[in-house]
Amino acid sequence: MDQTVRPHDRPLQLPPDAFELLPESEKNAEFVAMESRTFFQDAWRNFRRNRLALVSLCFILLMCLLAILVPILSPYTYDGMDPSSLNQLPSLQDWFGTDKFGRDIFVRVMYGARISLSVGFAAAGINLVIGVVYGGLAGYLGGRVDLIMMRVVDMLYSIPSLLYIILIMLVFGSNMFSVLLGICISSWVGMARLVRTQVMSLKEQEFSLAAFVMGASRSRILFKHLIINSIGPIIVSLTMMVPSAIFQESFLGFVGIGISAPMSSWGTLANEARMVINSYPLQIVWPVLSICFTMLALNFLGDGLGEALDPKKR
Amino acid sequence: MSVLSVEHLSTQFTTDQGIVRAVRDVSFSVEKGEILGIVGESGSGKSVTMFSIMGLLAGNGTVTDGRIILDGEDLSPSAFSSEKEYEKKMCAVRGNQMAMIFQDPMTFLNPVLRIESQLVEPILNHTKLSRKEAVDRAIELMGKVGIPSPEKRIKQYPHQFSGGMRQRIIIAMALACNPKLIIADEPTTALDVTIQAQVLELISAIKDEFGSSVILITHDLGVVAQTCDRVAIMYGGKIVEQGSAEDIFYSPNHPYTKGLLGCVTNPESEFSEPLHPIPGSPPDLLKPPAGCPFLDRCPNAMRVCRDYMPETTVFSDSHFSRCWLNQKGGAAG
Amino acid sequence: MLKYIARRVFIGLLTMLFLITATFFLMRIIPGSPFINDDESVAAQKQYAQLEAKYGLDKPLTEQFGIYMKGLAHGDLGDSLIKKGKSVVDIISTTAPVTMRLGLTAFVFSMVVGIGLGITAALSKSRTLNNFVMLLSTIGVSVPNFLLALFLMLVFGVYLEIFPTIGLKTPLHYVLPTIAVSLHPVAMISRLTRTSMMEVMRQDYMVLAKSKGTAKWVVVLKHGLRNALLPVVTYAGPLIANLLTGSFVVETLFSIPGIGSEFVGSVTNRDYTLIMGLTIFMGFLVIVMNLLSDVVSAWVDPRIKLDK
Repeated sequence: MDQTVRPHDRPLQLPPDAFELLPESEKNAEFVAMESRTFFQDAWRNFRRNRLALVSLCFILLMCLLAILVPILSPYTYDGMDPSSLNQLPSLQDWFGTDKFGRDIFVRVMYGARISLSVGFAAAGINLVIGVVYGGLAGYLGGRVDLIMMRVVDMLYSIPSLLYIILIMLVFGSNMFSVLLGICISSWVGMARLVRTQVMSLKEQEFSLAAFVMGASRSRILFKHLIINSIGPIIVSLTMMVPSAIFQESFLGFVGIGISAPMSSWGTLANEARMVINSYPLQIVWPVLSICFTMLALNFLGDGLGEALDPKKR
Repeated sequence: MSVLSVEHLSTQFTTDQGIVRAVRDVSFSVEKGEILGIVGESGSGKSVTMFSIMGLLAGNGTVTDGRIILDGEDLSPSAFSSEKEYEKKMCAVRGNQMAMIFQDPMTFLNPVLRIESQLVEPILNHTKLSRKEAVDRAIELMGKVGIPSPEKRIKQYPHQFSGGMRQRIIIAMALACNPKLIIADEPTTALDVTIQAQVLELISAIKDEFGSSVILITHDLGVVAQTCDRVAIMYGGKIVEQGSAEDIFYSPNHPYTKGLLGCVTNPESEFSEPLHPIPGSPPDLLKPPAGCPFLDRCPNAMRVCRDYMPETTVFSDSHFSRCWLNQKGGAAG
Repeated sequence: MLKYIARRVFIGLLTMLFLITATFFLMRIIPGSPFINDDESVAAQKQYAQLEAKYGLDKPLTEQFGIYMKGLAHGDLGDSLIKKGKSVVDIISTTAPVTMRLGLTAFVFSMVVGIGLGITAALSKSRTLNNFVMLLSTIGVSVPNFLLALFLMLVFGVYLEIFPTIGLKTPLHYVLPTIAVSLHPVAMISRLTRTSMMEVMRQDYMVLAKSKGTAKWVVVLKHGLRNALLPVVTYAGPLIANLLTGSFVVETLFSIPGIGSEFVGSVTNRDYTLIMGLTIFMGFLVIVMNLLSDVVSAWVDPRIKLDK
């Protein structure tokens, strides 16, 4: 075998002290001290790098702010009719124009945001609570309890949800309560399944045994250790629930059985505008854009959070 | 002529943090019918060297320099006009002239395909056998590597096998076309100790039966002592010492080799000797040091070691080391 | 396997029973009646009472439920209360095939386009292509299908007049409704496929397959695709059930005489027997499709043990 001296390895001119022992202090022993950061600080750093998600977050916050402040900011009310200016194009007085009763469309869209956003966030919140408690218990207790609890979930999963939403709307009337009840009756199932799977796999890991050995109570292990450790997937799925609830609510409005007049959600507004689409096509653009942009922003936000919270993608 | 000779091989990876120079100027050769052991800790570049030879580097890895010659044929990426040509050639070589055995039998078998369809794959790729003949050959191979009732088990899925059995299946795949060279990348690391010995024995036996040469990568010096003819010690992307098994175990030269030997426990000694761990951790190959990579952990580090890579000192036909200590006393300088 | 299917069928029957009971009673709490009449005259009231008696609506609820269940056991879903002279079975068997044709077209379209886009994005090194697919899929999940249907109808049907917008007579009639129904599933599937394909490409067994001298595209198709499609199969079950039960808005907008539009009509008309019939039909579809998707998953991935 050839000896491995390369041709350009010419004899070196070494300094005279070359063969003295190198003192410890001159070794460049690398000292990799990782800055210690908490899970959420880490996630926030990752999240900030994603511009699209950051813009989306700002958009949603702005939308919420406008929806809350619109009665203070605008001289008009959502049901204030003005027979002298019907179906106007956008102007400085009415930013988005007026509808067939002379109501200011901008103000109506912002009131629509109140309904749509609160339905979205409330539905997600309800799903979170029910799903986490139900799925957490099923996954943690396991065995027969889990079996029965999951069969119930399977049953609810097989129910055509549209049917139940419509029936509930008809029984309890077209109000916020029945919309939320209808949306949540089937959609918490997804969250429960997710939490159960997470808890089941985390329960097997050493840290929960360690917590048990150190004398933590069962409910403490479940809520403090297991749920907190599955917070990433839970948050991601939560951000996806908000747009899907908004979607369902606007669908109901569009079909004509949503939250009823005079206050109207985006879906209802789109449905109203559809009636006059041939003469005033611009009127439908505002609610439609609001729905689409909000959904888009929420989805981008969800993606961004998903990436920031996924430990594998660090 | 050597079965495989690798000259001045360098491989690097492009990552978000920068370029990782995982293998730096590595040269060695494998003779016919021998087992060469390559020893080093995780991140020393031993696996990357093998993946470079097989042309299996991940998308962000490239061989930047050096030549790889298998049985007189130049298989370095730079010897081909395009990446496509290289890929075409390597498809004909992989699994045929050289084959690889991997570290973790649990993750290297495809979970959704039957053993049969995975085991006949290399046979169908490289021979003109019909599907039926290939299945017969596969069953024969399974018998050879010691899997009981292969006719039945070939219809099963990987999750129905134990870790040791799965490793035997991977070995059978590697043997399918009587390769000249078998690269075994830590084949026993993921296995139970009792199974480890069986798998090593199997590899030795197969080498004799098929007349193949073997490169055995490991971080376990016990494995090396048991099976290897020659040994190369890798550290920080470089080979720091190379020699016959006796050279390495009885007259180690490089401080790292000595350190490694200090880490091996001797179960025969009546009173347990204290272990001598090597303090510190390997160098960051994002910023590879100009001098000796072992500098930071070396008990004998000198000024020269910091700035200059040590030259090769030859002790015998087969024993080399790269350490400035050998030049101390005026040989160079 | 058979034991598993038997158990699932049992649970399915239980679910159906729950579904039927809940729907029956919930439906009757709703104020209103199928024979609503503003006419307060004695004659009208009498006619109303006659109708109620004819359909047995004047009996106590529990007794009505018993009668209905007895009929159901003999496969009799009753007659529609609104559409005179038509049995519920008749209505379902004329509307369901229409919805199913559209649903199956949309299903095949979503699977082919979604999986194709997902794999292309996962395998391509081009950042632009990857970002494009991701953007497309985000837009796809963000635009509600009723808005998309409206938009497609206005642009391609009314202004450009490229595609017909009424009914499902010719293949051309299928284009717009199919796109409207498929955008959301296409987006979901392409996203799922891309993520799982990228995950699979990093797996060790892909390296081993390559080390056997198998050509790159064979490795991707033989070893990669099957593993990558597992999450898609799980998604496909509920999807096909959803598509086969029809989209109310799309059917209404494109004047398609399908089961989705029939359903909403039946609820607003309080056509009790039709509501029940449609609920049973849809529930059955959902349960069967979920079972089918679980069986297919177990077939694709031998590690899934159904009997456990």
